[in-house]
Amino acid sequence: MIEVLSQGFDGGKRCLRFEAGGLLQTVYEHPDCPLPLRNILEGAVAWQKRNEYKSGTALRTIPQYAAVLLALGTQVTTGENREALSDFIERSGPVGKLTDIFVPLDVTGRIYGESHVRRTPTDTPIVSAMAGVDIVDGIVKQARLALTGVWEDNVHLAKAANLLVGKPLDTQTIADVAAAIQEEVNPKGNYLGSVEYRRAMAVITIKRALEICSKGGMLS
Amino acid sequence: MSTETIQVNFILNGVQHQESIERGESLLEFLRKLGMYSVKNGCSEGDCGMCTVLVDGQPVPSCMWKAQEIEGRSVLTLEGLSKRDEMHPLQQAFIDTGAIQCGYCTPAQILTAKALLERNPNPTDEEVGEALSGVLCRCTGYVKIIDGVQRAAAWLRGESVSLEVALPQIHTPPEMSMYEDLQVVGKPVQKVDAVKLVKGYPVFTDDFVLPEMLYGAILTSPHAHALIKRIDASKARALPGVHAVLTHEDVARIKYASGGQSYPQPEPHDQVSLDNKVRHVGDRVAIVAAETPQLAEKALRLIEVEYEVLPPVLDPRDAMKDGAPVIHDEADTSGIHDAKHNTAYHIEAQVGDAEATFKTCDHVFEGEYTTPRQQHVNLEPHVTITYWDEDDRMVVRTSTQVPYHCRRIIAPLIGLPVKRIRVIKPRIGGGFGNKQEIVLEDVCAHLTIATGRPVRMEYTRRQEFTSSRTRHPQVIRYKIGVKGDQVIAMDLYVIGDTGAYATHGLTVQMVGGFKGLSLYNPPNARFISDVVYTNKPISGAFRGYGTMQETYALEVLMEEIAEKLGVDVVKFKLDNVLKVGEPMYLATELGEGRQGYEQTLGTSAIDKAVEIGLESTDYYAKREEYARQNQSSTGHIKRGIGMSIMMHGSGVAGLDMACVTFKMNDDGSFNMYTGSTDIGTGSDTILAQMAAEVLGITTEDIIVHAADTDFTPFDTGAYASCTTYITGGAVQKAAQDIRRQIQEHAAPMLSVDDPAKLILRDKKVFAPNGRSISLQEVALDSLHWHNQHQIIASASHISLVSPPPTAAQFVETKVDTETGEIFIENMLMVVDCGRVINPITAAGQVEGGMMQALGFAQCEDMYFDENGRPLNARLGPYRIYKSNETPKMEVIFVQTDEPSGPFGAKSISEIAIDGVAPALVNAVHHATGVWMRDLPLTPERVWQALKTR
Repeated sequence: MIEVLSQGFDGGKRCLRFEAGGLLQTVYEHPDCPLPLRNILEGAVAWQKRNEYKSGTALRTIPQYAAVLLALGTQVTTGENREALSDFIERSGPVGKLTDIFVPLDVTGRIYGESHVRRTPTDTPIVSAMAGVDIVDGIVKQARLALTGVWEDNVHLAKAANLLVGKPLDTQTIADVAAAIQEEVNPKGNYLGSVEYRRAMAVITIKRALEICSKGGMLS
Repeated sequence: MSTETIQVNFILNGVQHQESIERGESLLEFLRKLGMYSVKNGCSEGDCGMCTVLVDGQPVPSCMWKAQEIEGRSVLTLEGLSKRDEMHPLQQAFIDTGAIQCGYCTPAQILTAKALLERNPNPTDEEVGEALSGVLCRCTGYVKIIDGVQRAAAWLRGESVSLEVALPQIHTPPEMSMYEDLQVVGKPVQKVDAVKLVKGYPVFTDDFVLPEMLYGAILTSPHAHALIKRIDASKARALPGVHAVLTHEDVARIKYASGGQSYPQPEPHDQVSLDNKVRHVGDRVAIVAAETPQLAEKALRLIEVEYEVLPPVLDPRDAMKDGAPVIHDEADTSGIHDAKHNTAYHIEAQVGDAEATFKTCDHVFEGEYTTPRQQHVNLEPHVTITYWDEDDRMVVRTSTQVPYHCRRIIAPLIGLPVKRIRVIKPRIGGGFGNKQEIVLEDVCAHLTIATGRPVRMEYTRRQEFTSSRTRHPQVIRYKIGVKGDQVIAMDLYVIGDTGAYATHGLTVQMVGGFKGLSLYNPPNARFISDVVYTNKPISGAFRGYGTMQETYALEVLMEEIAEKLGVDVVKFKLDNVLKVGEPMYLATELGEGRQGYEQTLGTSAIDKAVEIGLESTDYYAKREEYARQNQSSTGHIKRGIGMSIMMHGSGVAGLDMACVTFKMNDDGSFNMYTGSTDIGTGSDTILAQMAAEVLGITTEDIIVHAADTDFTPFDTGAYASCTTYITGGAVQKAAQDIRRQIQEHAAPMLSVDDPAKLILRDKKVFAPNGRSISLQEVALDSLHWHNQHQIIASASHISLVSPPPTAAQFVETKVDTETGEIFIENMLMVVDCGRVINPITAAGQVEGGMMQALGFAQCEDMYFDENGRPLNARLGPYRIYKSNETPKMEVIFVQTDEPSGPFGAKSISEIAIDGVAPALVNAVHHATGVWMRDLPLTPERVWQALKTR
């Protein structure tokens, strides 16, 4: 079941609701699927995989998909409880059964930028960054920066996003955020990239994602 | 044993079905039980796409879907796409464009393409690549698959499509004009196995179910190095439905070496079917046969094993040190060079005096390089079915490149004489050398002997990584002495990591040494190699076979030398490369596991190949332009172009042997019996082309039978790039004998005195006066009327030379200097393989080879933790290139006329993999100034190198 609801949130006039038990392909094919989400589903997830993975379980298995949903300001429901996806992901202990996923649509002034590092052009990223930034009159009102490959677990929102709020998205601000990201991330090294490399790539990818935003970015 | 069953209603290939399924059964298992054998298993983890079917028009991985999920839905498999005499446009287009090599991925590719074209009738190449990215192909490089989809799309849009398909450029020197009237050889003839593959017929080993068949499974070691102190299989044996559990206590301890090589197998024979010691994670511990695969797995879990875990040694350099853990401390293995230092072999060979000559050189350059543990990723896993036939002979139906070696090697292991063993090779879903080994055949036969029942065994994808074979990782140290601009001395030291067992360790390193010192062939050269055991998966044969590793190191160091000397690298290489007429100095010392034969380079188009490549890529202009751009730009993207040259071999001189038999049928067609094994290369097709050329017919009148040790004659098998050259030689001889017999029988029918004056053409025999009779008339007359006899001939062929194909490889790349990422833009290979027998299959070999080589160079490696446990033994984390990331690839042929080869042919399959790595490393250097010495070029490696430049 996937539908567009007229009740928006997080600045969105409407929202897209899809069941956690539905296939990713259903989300991908929906005409109101936000472009950043569609791009990730197309570039990072093969067609067969989109017909294998459920929208809920993919949050754990496809970090880039979780990252884009985080940047989009997604909410989820677990039974009666509706909460931000970021809270759901970061909650330790029992998380409850995920039932629905809500993505805000038509958010005025929200732009997106994405960057990643990988072995081959469509490989699972070693590190990726997804930025969702609300800019009003040249000033950042809200920002979400989701990174993969630089945490103990798959994906998280970075607190450094707060440094953007109230400032113009200029070179200095981006540099400040990138510097803060370097301190904030806590990567685990593996054969794809050491701790040192992942930390460095967190800086590069977040910088690039924000630079894309500063140049107009991708609208949803 | 009770299993819960449920009813499902669904449409399969347009027909309503109601079936009982076992709850939890995968859709893949269910469909294959229904006889839908086009649905293939490649990984059972949703990573490879081989099992793709369409459910309500959507491509789904049937291994990950539960069968009950199709309730009320419509399922399409390839069986439903066409009728026996009709083909879907996609199927026809796949045949026309050469999109099929081994054919294992073809059903999934076609179904996914069908789903795409129903949504998007006019896709771009990028969209096709994107849509097909969930279906891996290890053979083709995807170029021809995308071409095939586009050709079908045009048909389906109603556009007129030329019957001709795009062919690679072929440059032919004037002296080859004698071949101008060839009718079949050199033509883009359709693959003889294309129809059955494109229709998904049950042609592979596993597409075969016998009554009472049991399912075998292997318990593998979780430890890299351990003694089995106690093993108790009683609980597993007590499980109802389990028919046999065998451990080292149950199987005779017969020593052998699993490498599928000619008799006598090089020592050491350091393996047994089941041992009381394990030497790598994935090593064999016990085997089980049970009524179902699930039950077999359950039985494995009930086997209690008490291990004494020993310290592993994972780096060959550590393994050679005093005091290192000794991997082969067993008393009954002979022939290990130095077991205490884990050195299976120590090889030394030399010509002249390299050490003394270095002192006379103007410059001496050294470089150390390492290469990765690349895995073959043959998409059809190893699979074997064994059973007793009606004469109590053991039939081994197996996915093997070496049926005859297999029969000879397993005979003592299973306690049967060769005459009681029959090995059948069905179609093979990719091999690349991985199936030039005895991997499952002995254990599967042990289980049939123990149970009296047919047994099927198949590796899981994880076992393909841990328990089949890999490429030998090497540490390569070159020392090159130059006087003026001439290379006059070379020293090559190679540490070959053979993993837990020696198998191909001797020969891979010997071939690497020979080719690595013969490309520039200095008169003073020394080769030393230590082939070292480690507690890692077993290294074995892999396309390239040592040559690939050494070519990488050599071609990078030669580039570095030219730069340091300030000379043009292309000129430097061509000035020093082995020339036609020159002897290869180390040929006799470095045969393949034994004394070799003298070799002189007979044909080579390397100069021409380089010339064409330089022109096609605009190499010099780009070298200047990119250098200027890289210098002036402050951006993080740099561009580079690099090249390399290479040569390979065509079979093993004086060792590889093939025999081929032809038999004429009543209608003038022919059965061709060959023990060679087409592993997707198209070798059955090019052999049929050669025969057809001699006999004046088309390949449609050649019925190829390969391979069955009961019926097809001996052939060493598909390895060492030997089939075109060696088996082709046998084909040519046998077909010529058949032609002679036809001429002799037809001469009185045509009232001609001299049979040699008769010409075979268009399935007829022509007399000088223009009269003709059909081959059918000759056949019927010879079988039923006059001088009755079967027109039949066999011929064997061996060659004391192994003429090298030669080639030039060019790669253009971008490098992100902030991240270390590499983005390949173009790859061009210009190849001299002698006569090109079939331009489509030959180009497919080169494209696929370049793609596999790109994986070796850029992303493929196996990683282990400190205890030797693999970290990326799955297709996803291991990563091979997919259809949506394929760089632009081009293939150009420069023909030579190799006098010792059939129709002037040499070989093609392995040289295609040799040159990408050095050309890419050289391109990265051109872009960034750094010399990369360790493969693969992972982003972090490049980033680290850039940081420290």
